[in-house]
Amino acid sequence: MSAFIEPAGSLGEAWLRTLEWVSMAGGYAINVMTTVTDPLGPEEPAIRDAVGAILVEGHRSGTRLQTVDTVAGTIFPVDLYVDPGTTYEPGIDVTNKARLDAAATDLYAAYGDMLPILTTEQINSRGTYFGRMISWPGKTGGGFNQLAERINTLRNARDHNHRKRNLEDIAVGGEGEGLMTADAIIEAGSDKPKSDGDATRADGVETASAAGLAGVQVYAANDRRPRGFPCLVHIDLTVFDGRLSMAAVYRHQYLITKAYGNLLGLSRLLGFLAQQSGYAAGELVVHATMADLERDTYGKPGVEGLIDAARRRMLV
Amino acid sequence: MSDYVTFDVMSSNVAADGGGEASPFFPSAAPAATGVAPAVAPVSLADRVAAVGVNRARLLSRSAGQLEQMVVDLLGALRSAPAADLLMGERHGDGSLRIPSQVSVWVLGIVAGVYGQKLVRLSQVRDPESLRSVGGLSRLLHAAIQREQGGEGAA
Repeated sequence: MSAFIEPAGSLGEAWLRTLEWVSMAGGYAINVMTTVTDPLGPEEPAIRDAVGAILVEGHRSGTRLQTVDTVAGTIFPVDLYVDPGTTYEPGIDVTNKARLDAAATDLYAAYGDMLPILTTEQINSRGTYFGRMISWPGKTGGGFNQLAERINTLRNARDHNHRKRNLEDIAVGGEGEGLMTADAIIEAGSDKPKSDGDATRADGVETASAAGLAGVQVYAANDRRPRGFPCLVHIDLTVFDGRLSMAAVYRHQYLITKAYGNLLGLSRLLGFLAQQSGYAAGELVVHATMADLERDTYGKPGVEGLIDAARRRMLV
Repeated sequence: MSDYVTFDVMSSNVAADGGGEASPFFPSAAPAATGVAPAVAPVSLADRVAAVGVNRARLLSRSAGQLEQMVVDLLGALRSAPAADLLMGERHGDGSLRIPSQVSVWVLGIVAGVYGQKLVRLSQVRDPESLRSVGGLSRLLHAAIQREQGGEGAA
């Protein structure tokens, strides 16, 4: 049965509520939706400490453990991004726009520098999430940069004061339909009527389908993997009431080994896109089609101990 | 928010609190560039790295200690910050500057490009802590270069 976890302001509280719910559900749940209403807000140190105490580099019951920062870095490598200290806005002056653009370009370049080394790690042999975002399909440089293109179209929408829009997606798993050509992107970002129909519904919401553009994830037809990378398969970006919100779909989310770092990385990715596009950050939603409390890895007492420790620390 | 009406439905109501300013984007533990950015075209990362002057001959002739300075210079290029500012950052247990492992991987990528081949494979790094300090990374690099020169293959 699906579950909508009560939204929380901080990613830590949202994560902890998800753990508590799935624990009550017996350790597994399907179609679990976790919502962070202030994804750029500060973390809850008590919760971060509790999960950080468990996630140390190494192995546990055959599961590879990575630190929270390492997991987060697979989605957004914050350590390679030099905050330009400015935010995009319509009419931005040339100097500040150049600083923003340079910061993003440097980030992509730095990641491209490290990609050949990253893929020498077995866990990255199929590529990395961020690699797929900036150089589709992601195992080498020189691929399609989805983030750069999404930023271009979002900036264009921001320039035209569009406050509702759901054209942008980021493909991570399978074969992304609609990794558009530059011409298609320019057309999508323009206010001209599309040749194949009106891109804006009567209620003013721009839609991918109405624009004749793909926003639907299509999985690789030859995907026979029973398990493994990628767990994160799709990211949707939606502008609503002038805020940029993000929804990420996981086909299997490991709630202890990965979920906290996933939320942190996605929050940082949203912050980057918001800064670069000029939209305020909205909410972050994660939809786990299978949420796994990983009792096989940490044991039921270990999982309950983590939940209790995090909740207790929050109450201190 | 879904349009479905249900009992006890919970809503995040993201748009209801108006358009208040978001919190700062990326407060960083690492030292940031100081001062006001000059109103000149930014120098690209590739050009900043090139200015450090890393080349194969330098890599081959450096001791681990000398490689440490080169790594700090590369970090300065990445962060657009003077090396002196970086060195004021947090220290690792080995006494050298603490760095995120991802930054170490970036340095390894730069060095591989200059050297002409990958010197370090992550799957063969025995101690992950070696990627978390300038000293550890420099020793890892130095050992890999020594092995490579001795014909024993990459680390």
